[in-house]
Amino acid sequence: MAAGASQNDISFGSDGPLDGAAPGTFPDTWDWEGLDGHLRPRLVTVGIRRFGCTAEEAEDLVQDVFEAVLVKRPRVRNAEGYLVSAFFNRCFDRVEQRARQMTLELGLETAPAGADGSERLLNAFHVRGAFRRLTPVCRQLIRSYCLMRVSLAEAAANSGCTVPAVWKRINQCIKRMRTCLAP
Amino acid sequence: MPRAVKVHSAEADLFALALGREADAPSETRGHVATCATCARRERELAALADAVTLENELSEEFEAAPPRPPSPRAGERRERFLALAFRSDAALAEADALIEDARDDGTDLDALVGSRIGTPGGRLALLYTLQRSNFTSGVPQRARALASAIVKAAGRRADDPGLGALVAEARAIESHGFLSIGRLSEARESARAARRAHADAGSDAFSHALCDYFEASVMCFQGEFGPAERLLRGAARVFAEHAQDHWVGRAEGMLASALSQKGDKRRALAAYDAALERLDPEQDANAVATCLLNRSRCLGALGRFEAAQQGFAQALQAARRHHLDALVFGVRQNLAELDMLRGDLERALASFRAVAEDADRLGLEEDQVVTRLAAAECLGRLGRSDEMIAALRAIGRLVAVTDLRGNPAWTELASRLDPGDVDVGLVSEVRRHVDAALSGFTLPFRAAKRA
Repeated sequence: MAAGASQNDISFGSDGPLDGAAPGTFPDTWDWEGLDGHLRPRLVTVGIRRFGCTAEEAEDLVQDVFEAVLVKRPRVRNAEGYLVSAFFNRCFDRVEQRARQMTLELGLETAPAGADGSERLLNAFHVRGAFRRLTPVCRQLIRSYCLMRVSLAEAAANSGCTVPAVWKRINQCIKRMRTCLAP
Repeated sequence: MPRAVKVHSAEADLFALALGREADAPSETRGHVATCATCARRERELAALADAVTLENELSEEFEAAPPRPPSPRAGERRERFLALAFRSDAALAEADALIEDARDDGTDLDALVGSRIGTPGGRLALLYTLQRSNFTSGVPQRARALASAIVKAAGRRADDPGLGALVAEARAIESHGFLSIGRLSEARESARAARRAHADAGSDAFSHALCDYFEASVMCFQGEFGPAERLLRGAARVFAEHAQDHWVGRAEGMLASALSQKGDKRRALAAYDAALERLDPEQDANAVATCLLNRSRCLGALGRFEAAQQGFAQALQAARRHHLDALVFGVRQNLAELDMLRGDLERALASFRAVAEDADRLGLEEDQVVTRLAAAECLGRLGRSDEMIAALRAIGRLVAVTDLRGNPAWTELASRLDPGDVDVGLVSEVRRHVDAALSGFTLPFRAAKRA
């Protein structure tokens, strides 16, 4: 135990009132029709285009994740975000499985790493999560610096701070994001 | 001869190079990367990151712009099946709310409640939702634990039933939470591990495993295993973020902050508390928000930032009162008294601790009755009112005799021979530290102080 440690921080991890208090209200009403109508066709398209699924396979995977989210409904607050991530994870599992199968069939010792672009996709998936852990201001800064290629001076002018301040913020964000990439 | 220290390039400069934006990187960085294998590797990693940012953006745009596809022959059947399941889920959620009311009641026979539901899919789903309802599991953790144990027991009698994996896994996780809340750490740890095994057997997804990591790490923080707990929490936060569940990211960040704070790294803890608070919803995560505000203020106090700490406690108090979180209101008041003591305002601290002790009496918080009175006694000692301190410590001895703190080595040492000089050699504050730790489930090594 480190010297000066404080051991009695109050235990974290609850979001409901204590005994005797009025129970809280939770946004339990999900728009099933909306989720189904909006997400299902998009996920199927991404599965086919990016992960090489057949239409039937993609539809099966989408069905699986839609059914799976139901068993953890009170734990999930952003249903759309959960469904998209769960679908991507299933697709990655499928890609891995395919690579393993290819290895066996071709008698290779290891599958050619990332030959099918799955590693790039996995990195993009992790970046998606990493972005969620940045503040909105930082997210916007990194996107504009990387994608719109604004200069440090423009970024500073847009956010009303100095160039060194923008540089420092980019430095911190990148440090944090770098750890998100697949090992 | 002093050793030369190699200075590597900054992340932002390497990132500029990786993006092909040479103008944003100083010329020294370009020269350095050409000769430094470490920075060349970092630049390659950052190029992969830049590529991933671009691809992530492409995917998002592609996802939103995806053209509608003609429905497959089985699309209608799938949709119908899903909507039927969703309808069943709505019904189970309503049943779970009724179940929570029943389960809260100490007189309810939980074995019977479980037995009448575990045999049907709808009943199982209602039980599962009941366990996942945090207003139940955090509001009455011991009833939730009892329900979870009843589920595990009932599932054990149906060992040949393959549809119980997710329910058992959830029950184990809630058992862990319940054990943690009463300081039974090894049982809490074992339950969290059992939850992970059950999820693995049930083929659950990464999110469920991250929840197990979160529950186990919560226990590890109180077992002093900060490094491994930190790693588990960081991994869990990453998975929660990938699943876009900000409230769980907030909880993991908050727990990480607690681990850092307990480790003594108050500055990093502050940053982690801020990250947690950004992601938690003041209404839906009221308890977590108030807890974070309270613990964050404790860090500020420990860093000597008394004004900021006072403001933070005021915010925590407001949040706790608004949501009727009585235990947290008590915690804030106790910490405000502590802050007065840290500031050196001993008269005020004494008055505050006495008032908080009365609250502990009223609320029946036995251990807190001892802790707050010990603090008041220390104030008396430091104010030079030795006779009153000795009298206060004698009175505390009578309280300790009926609590779990009986036998605490630090207290035993102090009580063995009460002496006015004990406050000067730091024995009273040492005892407070040990008693505080014992309340949180810690056992600190005790070495007898050199007494006058």
